[in-house]
Amino acid sequence: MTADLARNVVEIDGLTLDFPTYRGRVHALSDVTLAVREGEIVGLVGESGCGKSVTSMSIIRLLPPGSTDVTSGTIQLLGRDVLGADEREMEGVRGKLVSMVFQEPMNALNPTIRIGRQITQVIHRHERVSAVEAEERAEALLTEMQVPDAQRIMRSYPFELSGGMRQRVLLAMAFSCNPAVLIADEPTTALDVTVQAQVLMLLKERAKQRGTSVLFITHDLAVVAQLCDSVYVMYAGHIVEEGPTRDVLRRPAHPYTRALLRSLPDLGSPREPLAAIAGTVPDLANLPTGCAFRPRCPAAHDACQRVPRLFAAPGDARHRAACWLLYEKAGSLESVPRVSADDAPAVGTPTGAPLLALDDIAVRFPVGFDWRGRARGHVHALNGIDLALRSGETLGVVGESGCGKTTLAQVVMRLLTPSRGRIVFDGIDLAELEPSRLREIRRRFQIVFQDPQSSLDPRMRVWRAIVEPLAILGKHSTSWLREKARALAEEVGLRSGQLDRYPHEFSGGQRQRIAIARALASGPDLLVLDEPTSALDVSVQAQILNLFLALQKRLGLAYLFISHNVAVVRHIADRVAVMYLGQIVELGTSAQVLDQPGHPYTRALLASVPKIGSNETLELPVRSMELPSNFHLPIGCFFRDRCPFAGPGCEKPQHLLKTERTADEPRMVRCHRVRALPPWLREDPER
Amino acid sequence: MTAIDKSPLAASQVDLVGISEARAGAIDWRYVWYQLRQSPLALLGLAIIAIVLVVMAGAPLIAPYDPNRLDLLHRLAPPSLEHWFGTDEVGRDLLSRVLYGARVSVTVGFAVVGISMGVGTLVGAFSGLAGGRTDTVIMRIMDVLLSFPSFVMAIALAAALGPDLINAMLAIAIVRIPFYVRLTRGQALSLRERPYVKAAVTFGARPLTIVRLHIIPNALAPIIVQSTLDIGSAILTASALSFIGLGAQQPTAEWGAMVSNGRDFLLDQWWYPTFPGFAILVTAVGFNLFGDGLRDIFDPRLRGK
Repeated sequence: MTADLARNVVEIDGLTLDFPTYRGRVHALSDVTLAVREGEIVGLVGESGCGKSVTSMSIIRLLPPGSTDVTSGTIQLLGRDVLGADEREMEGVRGKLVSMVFQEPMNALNPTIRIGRQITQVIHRHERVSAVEAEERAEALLTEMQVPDAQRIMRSYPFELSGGMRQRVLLAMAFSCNPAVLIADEPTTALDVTVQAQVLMLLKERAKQRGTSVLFITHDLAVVAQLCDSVYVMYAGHIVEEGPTRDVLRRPAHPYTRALLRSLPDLGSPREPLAAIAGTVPDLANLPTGCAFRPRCPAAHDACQRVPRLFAAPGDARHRAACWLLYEKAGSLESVPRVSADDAPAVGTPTGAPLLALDDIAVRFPVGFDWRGRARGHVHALNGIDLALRSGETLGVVGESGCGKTTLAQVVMRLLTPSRGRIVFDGIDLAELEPSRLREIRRRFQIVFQDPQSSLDPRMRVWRAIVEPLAILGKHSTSWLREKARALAEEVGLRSGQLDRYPHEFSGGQRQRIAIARALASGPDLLVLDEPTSALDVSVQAQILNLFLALQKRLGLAYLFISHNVAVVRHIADRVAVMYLGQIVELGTSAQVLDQPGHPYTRALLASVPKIGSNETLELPVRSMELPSNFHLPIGCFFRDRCPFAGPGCEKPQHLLKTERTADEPRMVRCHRVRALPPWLREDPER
Repeated sequence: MTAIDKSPLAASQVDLVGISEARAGAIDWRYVWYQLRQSPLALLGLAIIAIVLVVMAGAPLIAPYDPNRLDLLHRLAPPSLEHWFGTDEVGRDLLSRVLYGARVSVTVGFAVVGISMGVGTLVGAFSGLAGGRTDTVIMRIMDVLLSFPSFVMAIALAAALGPDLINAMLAIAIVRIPFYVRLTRGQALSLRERPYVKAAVTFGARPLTIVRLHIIPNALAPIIVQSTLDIGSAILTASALSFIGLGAQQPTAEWGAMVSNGRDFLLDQWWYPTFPGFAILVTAVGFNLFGDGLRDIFDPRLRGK
């Protein structure tokens, strides 16, 4: 590699940046030094609030000038000083030398302007070209970004495109003036894994072809593993580790990086507690003295009272980490004690009659009413779901957005009435209950939502929120309720001294614990967990997953665990149902389904999940990237148009077929050709 | 949905480091005070309100005379050291009457807003939470109420109920109810989709409980802004009704009635209608300035409009 000889395109040196706020000075960045070389893809990883986005935005000075305060440091773009440049000069730089791709493609595109004009506007802004020329270039760019039927897309408005398509349009815009650097801020976080795989591959290929450098910001270490040449790890506004991706991920030198990697469910063994990092990210307005990771670090000692600089790690000279252990004696790092976790829960062996049975559940929503008030059509959210869940068992439901997972959760919770089918809870048909009886039985099944911030009333003190179900179900004295709240808080690992505060004073992980305590208050038998960890950082996710496992062991709860994250489901679930377009396409134990997938869709899903251990190039798992519409359901097998194995017979509706039977666990796959498919061949070095 | 918002900057590019988080619903009074200090006009409004409230409470201590004491020897006396604002046609001290008038006018303002806000918020919260046919019926009734010009409606109601301060108050309050119903219903429509409201449903909560625990406390910020803005105009409307003889009756010291009585003397005894009129103006402006300031804080998008 000639990377060492290549010049630096972006060079940040000792950047320290504060936000003065009414809470005091928030130290967003502390002495950040970072370089992106020509043609290199650099990853910037860290948990939320660690300063990744602030770093990237300061490179093109997008931060509001009035509320930011750069106390020291320099930023250079191709040798030009960014901090001293005037605004006119910066306007010439943005889009031309540096372009940016944001996380939420809908917000980054103007909803009232056609796609074509949005792209040509960028070209016109920076280059003198005729209108026809600009249009031709826009079309060529879109084609290059694998947008099918580019001419039609150019005439469309952003809302007419899918998320993956919008992100391609943004990539086309970003590449339109051949920038020297592309800054991508979590560009695939809002996308489904199958789409993410395609967009990542595209980004990597195009950047390499054009020699564009990329600064790729993400919270996902697996994405970094697959995409980046080198990586910077950030924590609380500090760069704590840097180096070639392979070295950093294979031999992490900083205790934070090590802990972060160990807290990924991908690498742990199923249903064993994960090595969570204790505590939470510090408040940037009130940083601990010395090393910012000290309060959470298992290896913290006296030296950590001072801020460490970056020391070289053993191995590659470019691999450095900001930890005193490296300076003192590199060898002792290996003996960093593992973070202790909750006691190990045994693998449950659920038996008996089903606690919850869903029988041919369908949900459709009417849309577009005509003048008589009759629906013009229906969105088919669920199309015949049969599921059974026994007490003490965890059933994982995986699928991409729009597959009906959340609708399923709402149906089970009786927040939505299904258009067809029966829900039987503990032998009682919920549809036949009177409202008062239904209110009573609701205490036995509870839900934990994805976003802990919006699932707690911001104006309710935490102890009141925890015992809200009890207060609603009966009259109790305040002291009894307080006592109950304290007990429940202890159950989920919250300190009882903080219960008089409001939810916004807690971190995301703590809020999710509060939501779990509230769900446990009425003593339920079943918890519906609707993406309970996807709004959390990985280190916190590990804590919450451990909590779920421990609670299940202690209280014998049954979980319906809904997630888009295959690794999380593999970790926590006994059995797994894979959903696609409102149907279950595969059902079986998690080992069966996720280690030897049968259905072509499950295979595509698993192939798209980025993995840290493997550095194989990403393959395109599906033929077409567009999910079929659930307004006009496809005829025959729903996956037929995207299936790489589609053949004769697929035009007929498919049924769940039993493929094998181990003990009393049937394995079902909704594919008539499942026995004829080639064996699943993805080698998995970590397991 | 799997759309995950990982980056704290994604939601709003300007609102960095979680200030928005603290503002998500709960009213952070520390933040309100911080913002208020940046706005001199809102502070001026707050100062005016404070002065008016002090005057209200301390009128007997501050006022130099009994507001209803007749002094036929000094009728229509011009402003002097003894009578700062002069006297009226039966020799009552106008300064004392204006000071006591604050009690009536501001009480009317608060009462009107209290009634319309109380009723409107409850009805609106239920309407929004219930949805469907109930919602449609309630909102159509409100549309009908809104389709009358509100002042004409207040005159008609006050005339029908009889000329009396309490009746005038009720009339103004009823006319204002639809505004609060619409405001709260809008909030309730978005709040009922929040996970914490859905969670309450899964605990078996009844609609009344949900309205009390979750909808009203979280819909409060815009309602407080609206009510602060409304107090000023309620005082104005009450004064206007008194001015045309449908509100406060003699000898109650009420600003609108005083302006009305002083109208006949405007050319020769300018002080008689001017000082009560000025009191109305200053009080209304005070509440409006403060209300504008609060609105800017709770809804920065409206700033400068």
